[in-house]
Amino acid sequence: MAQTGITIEDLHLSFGDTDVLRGVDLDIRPGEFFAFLGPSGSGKSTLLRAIAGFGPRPRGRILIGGREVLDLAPWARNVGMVFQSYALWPHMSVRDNVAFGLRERRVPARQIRDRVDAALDLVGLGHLDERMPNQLSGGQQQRIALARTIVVEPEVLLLDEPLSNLDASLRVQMRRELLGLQRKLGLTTIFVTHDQEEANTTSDRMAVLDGGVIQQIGTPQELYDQPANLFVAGFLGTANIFEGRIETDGDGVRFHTRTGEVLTLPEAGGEGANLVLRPQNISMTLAPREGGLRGEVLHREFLGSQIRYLVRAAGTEIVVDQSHSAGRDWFETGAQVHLVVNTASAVVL
Amino acid sequence: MKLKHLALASLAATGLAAGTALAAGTITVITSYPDLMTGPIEAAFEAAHPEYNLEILNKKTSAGVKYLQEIAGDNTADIFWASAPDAFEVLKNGDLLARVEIASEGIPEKIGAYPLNDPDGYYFGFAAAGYGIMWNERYLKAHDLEPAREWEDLTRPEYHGHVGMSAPSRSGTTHLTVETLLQGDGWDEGWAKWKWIAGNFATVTERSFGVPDGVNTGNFGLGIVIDFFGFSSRASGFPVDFAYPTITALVPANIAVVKNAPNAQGAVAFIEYLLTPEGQSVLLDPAIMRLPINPGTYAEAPEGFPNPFEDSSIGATVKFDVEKSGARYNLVNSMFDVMITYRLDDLRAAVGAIRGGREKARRRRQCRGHGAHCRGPRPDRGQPDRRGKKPRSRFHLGLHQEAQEGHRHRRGPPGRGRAGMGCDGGRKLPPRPRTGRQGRRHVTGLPARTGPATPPPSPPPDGEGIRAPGEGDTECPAVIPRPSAAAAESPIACRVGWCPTCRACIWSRPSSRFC
Amino acid sequence: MPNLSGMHLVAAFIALLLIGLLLVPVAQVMIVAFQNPATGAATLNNFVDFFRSALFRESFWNSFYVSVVSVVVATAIALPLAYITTRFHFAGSALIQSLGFIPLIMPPFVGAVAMQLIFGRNGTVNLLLREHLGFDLPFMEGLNGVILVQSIHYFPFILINLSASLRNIDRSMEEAAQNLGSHGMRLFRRIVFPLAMPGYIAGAALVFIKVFDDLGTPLLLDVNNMLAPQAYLRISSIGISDPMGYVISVILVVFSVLSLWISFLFMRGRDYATVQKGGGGMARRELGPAEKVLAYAVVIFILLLVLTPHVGLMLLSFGTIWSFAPLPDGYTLQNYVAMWEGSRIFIMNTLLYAGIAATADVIPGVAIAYIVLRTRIFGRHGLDYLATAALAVPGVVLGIGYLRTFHSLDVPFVGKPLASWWVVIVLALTIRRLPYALRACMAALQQVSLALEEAAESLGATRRRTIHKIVVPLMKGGLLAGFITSFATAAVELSATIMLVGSSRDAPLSYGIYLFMQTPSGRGAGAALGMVAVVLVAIGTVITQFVIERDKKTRASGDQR
Repeated sequence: MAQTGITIEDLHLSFGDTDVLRGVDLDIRPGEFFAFLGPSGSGKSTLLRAIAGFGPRPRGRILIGGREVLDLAPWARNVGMVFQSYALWPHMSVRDNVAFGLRERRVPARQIRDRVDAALDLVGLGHLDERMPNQLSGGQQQRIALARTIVVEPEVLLLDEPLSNLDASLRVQMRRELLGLQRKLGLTTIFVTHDQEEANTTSDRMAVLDGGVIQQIGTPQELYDQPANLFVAGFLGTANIFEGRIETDGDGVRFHTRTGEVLTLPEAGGEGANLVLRPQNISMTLAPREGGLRGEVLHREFLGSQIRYLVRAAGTEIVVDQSHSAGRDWFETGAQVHLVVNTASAVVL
Repeated sequence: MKLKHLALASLAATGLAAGTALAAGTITVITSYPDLMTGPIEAAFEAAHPEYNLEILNKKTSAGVKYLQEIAGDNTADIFWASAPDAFEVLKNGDLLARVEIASEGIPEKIGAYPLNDPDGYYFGFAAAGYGIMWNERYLKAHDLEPAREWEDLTRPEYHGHVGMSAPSRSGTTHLTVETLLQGDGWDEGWAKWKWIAGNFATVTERSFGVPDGVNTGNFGLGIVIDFFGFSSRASGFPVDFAYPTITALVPANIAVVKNAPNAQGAVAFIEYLLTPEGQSVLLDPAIMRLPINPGTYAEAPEGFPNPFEDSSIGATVKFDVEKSGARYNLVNSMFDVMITYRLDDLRAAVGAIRGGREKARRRRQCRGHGAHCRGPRPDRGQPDRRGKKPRSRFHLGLHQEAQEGHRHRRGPPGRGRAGMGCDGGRKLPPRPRTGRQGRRHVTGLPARTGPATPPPSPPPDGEGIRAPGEGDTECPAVIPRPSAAAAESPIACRVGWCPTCRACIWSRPSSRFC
Repeated sequence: MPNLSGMHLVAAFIALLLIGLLLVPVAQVMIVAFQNPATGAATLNNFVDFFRSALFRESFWNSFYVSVVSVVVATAIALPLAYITTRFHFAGSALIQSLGFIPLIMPPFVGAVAMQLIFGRNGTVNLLLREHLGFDLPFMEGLNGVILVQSIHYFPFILINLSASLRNIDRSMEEAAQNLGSHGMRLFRRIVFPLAMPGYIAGAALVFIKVFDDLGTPLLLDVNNMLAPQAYLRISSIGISDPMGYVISVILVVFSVLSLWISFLFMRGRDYATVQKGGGGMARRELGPAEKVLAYAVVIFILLLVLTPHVGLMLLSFGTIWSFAPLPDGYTLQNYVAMWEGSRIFIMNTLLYAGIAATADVIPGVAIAYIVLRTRIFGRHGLDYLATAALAVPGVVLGIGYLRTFHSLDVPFVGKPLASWWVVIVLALTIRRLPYALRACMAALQQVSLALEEAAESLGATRRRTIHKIVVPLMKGGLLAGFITSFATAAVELSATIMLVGSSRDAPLSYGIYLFMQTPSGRGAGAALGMVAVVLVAIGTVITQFVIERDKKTRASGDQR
C-alpha cells in the first residue's frame, strides 16, 4: 500500500473569539504512527478533526499525500477516523456498520462481503457480524469501529482518544493490537491522547500540544530526555524543577539554587534559569557527599520496582526515585539526607 | 404565581356565583340560541328586572335535551329555550317540564295555522320562524343562476352542486324543514322531492348554522334555512336574500320552565317579559331578526320584513302536525341520514346519471321522428348556460314531461335507481312505521336497506321488472355488467347491469328490458 | 432498593387516578356497545352488525385512508422544517420552530373555517385560479379537505418530535458516516433519518391516532362517512337505544391502542440515547448561497401553507363582509371591539384551565416515564398504556362519561356536583392531554443516558434526589415541550369541554369562539377572539423556544474543545 504523509502549515482556527489552534506546523511521514499529546483543551482533537474535515474551516494549509485538502469535504478526503465514542450506528448490525463505507463507494456486493469478512477477521470479531452494536462490549465496539474505518482502505488513519473508554488492562492490550495492526497495514496513523504512556508506548513520534500551539515534536525518548520547555518537561513523566541562576566562569558552569547551594554542570545548557532533573537521576544517602544538596524526607511511596520519596531541598519539594530490591534499607520520613545529582542528565530551561 | 391568583379569583367567583344564585335570583337558561341573540334579550331583561340575573347555557337543541335528561335527578336549570317544538314534546313526554301559568297581553292564539302555545300549558311560543331558501347573490350572478323560490325549483338540474342543507339529525330547525315538506307534500311525495333536491346538494352540513355560513361565504349558492338566518345574514351586510316557499310552516320558537326548577318564579318572570311589547321588539335586533308573535311589534319592523299576520300567504298552506312530527322524530332523522347524508356522493352521481339518461332517452324518442336531427349539439345539462336563460325552462319542461310519461307507462318499478329517486318508488314502500321505536330497526340494521326509497335487495318476482313493450320502444341490445363493487353498493346498484343505450338498470333477464 | 416502596406508592396513586378519571367514565359509555339495546343483555351482535354495514366499512376505510395520507402529508411538511432548522446555521431557526408550532394551537374548527375561505370551492385560491387560469383545484372537496386541514393542524407533532430527535443525534454519528464517504441525501436516508426514527415514529403515531379519532374537522367540513363522525352522530342524535355509536367508539379505541402498541413495538430496542447529554448534538453546517436561497424558498412556502388558516383568520377578523370574493370587501376594527366586550372571561378561564391542566400533566408524565423506563414495578407498562389510551378516547365520549360518572359526586364546600363544577373541565383537559406530556417526558428520559443516573446513585444520592437533581434537570427541554404541547392544545380544545361547560361564566375561549361563530354577525368577532388565542399561545411558545435555545447555547459553549 502506498504510504501517505501529512503536512500542516501555519494552521489557525478559532471558535468565535476563542483561538483554538494558533499556527500549527507539522510534518508527518508516510507510514508513521504519530501521536498528538496534550491536556484537554490543548487543541489536539480540534487539530485531528481539522485533518478529517470536521469543524470550522481553518486558515493555513493541510496536505495529505501532497494534496491540498482544506477545501475538500470530509467525504472526499479519504481519511479514516475512529471516534472516541466509536459512533457505531445503533440501527445497523455490525456487518452493516462495517459495510457502510464500501456501499457508499459502490463496491460490488460480493466484494463487500469478502472485505467485511476480512476486516472483521482482522480485528478478531468475525463471529459477531450479525450482532447489533448495543450487544457488544466496549472493546468489541472499539474493534468494530476500527474495522469499519480500515475496511475502506483510507490513506490516513485518525484515532481520537480511541482507548479512553476502555478499562486499563484492555487498554494495554488494545494499544498493542492497534500498533500491530498499524504496522501490518503500514497506514499513516495519528493518535490523539492525553495519556503519555499510550503515546510513549505506541508512537514513532509525537507532538505535544498546549494552548493551540505545538510545544515540541520528536520521538518519545527525545521529548523525555530533551524537553524543549518546562511544559513538555512537566507533562511527560515527572520532572523536578530547580529555580535559580546559571553562572559561567573559568571552572565551568555552575547552577546557584535559591537557597545558595551550588551545582556544577558539565556544560552550558540553555539560557533559562531552571534546572530540570528526572527523579531517577538523583541519588540519596544519609552520609554527606561532596556537591550534594541537603534535604529532608517528607513522604515515601512504595511502587514495587522503586521507592518514591518526596524530599524538601533547595527551597522546593522534589521527587526522588530509588530502585528497590529485597533487603535494601529505606529512608524514614523525617530523615535528613544528602542528594547527589547526576548533572549529566540535567536539562537547563 | 399568576395562575394561583387566577385560580383563587376564579374560585372566589365560583363561590360568589353560588352565593348570589340564592340571594338575587339567578335564572339558569338552557338554550340553543347563540350569544348574539341571547345577549340583547338578556340585557333588556336585566335592565327591566334588575333583581334577576340570567345565566345562559348554550347547547345544541338535542344536546340540551340530553343535558336536561342527564341532570333530571338533581335539576339545576330553570328554563329550556329553543326553536324546535319537537324537542319540547320530547321533554314534555319525559316529564321534564313544569306546567306554569303565564300572563300576557295581545298575543294571538295561533300564528298561521299553528297554535302558539302547548295546549297543556307546558311550553309557550315567544317568536315564530318559517323555513325557506336563502341565496348568495354574488354566487348566483357568477354562475348565471336565478334564485330558487320554491322547493320544486331546487330539484332543477341547473342547481346541481349548488345547494346546501343541514342534516335534520343535527339540527332541530332543519328537522322541522324536512318535516314541513313531508307534511306538505305527503310522506311519499315529500321524500321523493327531498331526494331530488339532495341530488343537487353541494354538501350536508353538520351544524344548522353551517348552511347560512356556507351561503354567506359563497361556498355554495343556495341554502335551505330557517328565516332568521337569512334575515340576520342580510342585516349583517352579506349579499344574500331569503324567500319563503309556498309550502312552509310558521312554527313558534318556544320556551318552557324546567320541572323542579330552582328558581321557578324567576323563570316565569322571564317568559312573561319576553311576551311584553318591549320583549318582543328586541326580536327585531339586526342580529336576531325573528318574527315577533305580537302583531303590534311589526310596526317597528324594518322595510321589507315579512309580517305573517298580514301576509296570509306565508305558512298558510301547511298545518304543521306536531304530534305526528314528534312521533316519527327519530325515524325521519335516521332516514334522512342513511338515504341522503351518508350516501350523498352516490346520490349526486345517481341524479346526474338519471338526468343524463333521461335526456338521452328523450332525444332518442324525438330522433325516431326526426332522423338526422339527432346529432345536433346537445345541451349541457349540468352546467349553467351562460349565454341565455332559455335552456332552463326547456330542461324544466322536459323533466316533467318525462316524469309524467314514467307515471303513465310504468307498472312496476323498472329498477332500483328510478325507484330510488322516488318517481314511483312509493308503491313499493313497506307499511309506514307507526312510531320512532319501530323505526329503530332500520337504523341499527343495514342503512342501505332502510327507507322507502330503497327497495329490498331481493330480486323482484319474475315478471316484475318486465313491462310490455310500448310504442316505439326498442329492446335493450346488450348489458354492461356491473362495473365494480362500489357500484354494487350504490343505491342504484343493478343486479345484472345497465343497458348501454338508455343506461337504464336491468334487473333480471336482459331481453325483458326496453328503452 | 430502599426507595422502591415510595415509587410503588406513586405508581399506585397514578393508577388510581387514571382508573377513576379515564377508565371508569369511558367504560360507562362503552359498555353500551356490548349490550343488546332492547334487553340490556351482553352480546356481540352489535359488532357483527357493524361489519355487515357497507356504510361502516366505508367509514372505516375512509378513516384509515385519511389518517395514512395525513401522516404522509404532515411528514412532507415537517421534515424539511425540522431538518433545515436543526441541521444548518439558519437565521430564524427559533422563529421557524415557533411558527411551525402555531398550527397546533388553533382551534381546528376555526382553522377549517379559515381554510374554507382560502382553499374552499369558492375560496381565494380557487376564485383567482378560475379567473386567471380557468380551472380550480379540489383542495377542500370531501376527504381532501380533511387531509389538508388535519395535516396542517397536526404536523407540529412530527416537527417537534423529529426536531428533538435530530438535535439529540450525536454529532459523531453523522461525522463517522461522512468520514466513510457518505453525504447529502444518502447520509440523511441511511444515518440521520433512521437515528431520528424514534422521534419520527412517536410523532407520526400521534398524528395517525389524532386524525383517526378526530371528530371536529370532518364534521366542520361536513364529511360524515368516517368513523369518529359516525360515532358522534349516532351517539348524539339517536342516543343509547342505538349501540352503533358506542360500537364505533370501541373500535376507535381498539384500533388506536393497536397502532400505539405497534409503534411501541417498533421503538423497542431502539433506545438511541446517542448523546451524552451536554455532549455534541448534531453538527450544524453553513449553507452555500444557492442552498440558502433554496432553503428559504422551501421554508417560506411551507410556512405560508401552514399559516394559511392564520392568515385567513386574520383577514376575517379585520374584514367587514367576506363573501364569494378573494378578499374581504373592507377592513375594520369593529370585530375586535365586539369581541373585547364579551370575551375577557373566556380568555382568563382558558389561561387558568390550560395552565392547571398542563402542569398537572407534566408531573404524572415524568412519574410515569420514570416508572416505565427506570423501574421494574409490576404493571408499569399497563400504566403507560392506560395513560396513552386517553389519546384513543374521543372527547365527546369522555365528556358523556364524565357527566354520567360525576353527576352524583358532590364536591364538599362548593355545593354542587363535580360534573357541573369548572374543575371537571380541567380534569377532562388533563386526562385528554396527558398522553402528549407523557410522550414528551418519555422521549426526554430516553435521551438521558442511564449512566448519568447511576453516577449520581453511586455518589450516594438516593433515588429521589437523583430524580430531583439529575433526571428532571436533564429532561428540562422535553418537559417544557410537553408542557407547551399540553397547554396549547388544551387551550383550544373544544370537543370534551363542549359537553362539560356548566355555565358560560366557566366557559373557555374555544367555547367562546364557537358561540360567536354560530351567528352571521359574530363571525368576525369570533375570528378576532381566535386571533387572541393564537397570539396568546404564540407568545408563550416563542418565549419558551428562546429559553430552550438559550439553554442549548450555554450547553454547547461548555462543550467546545
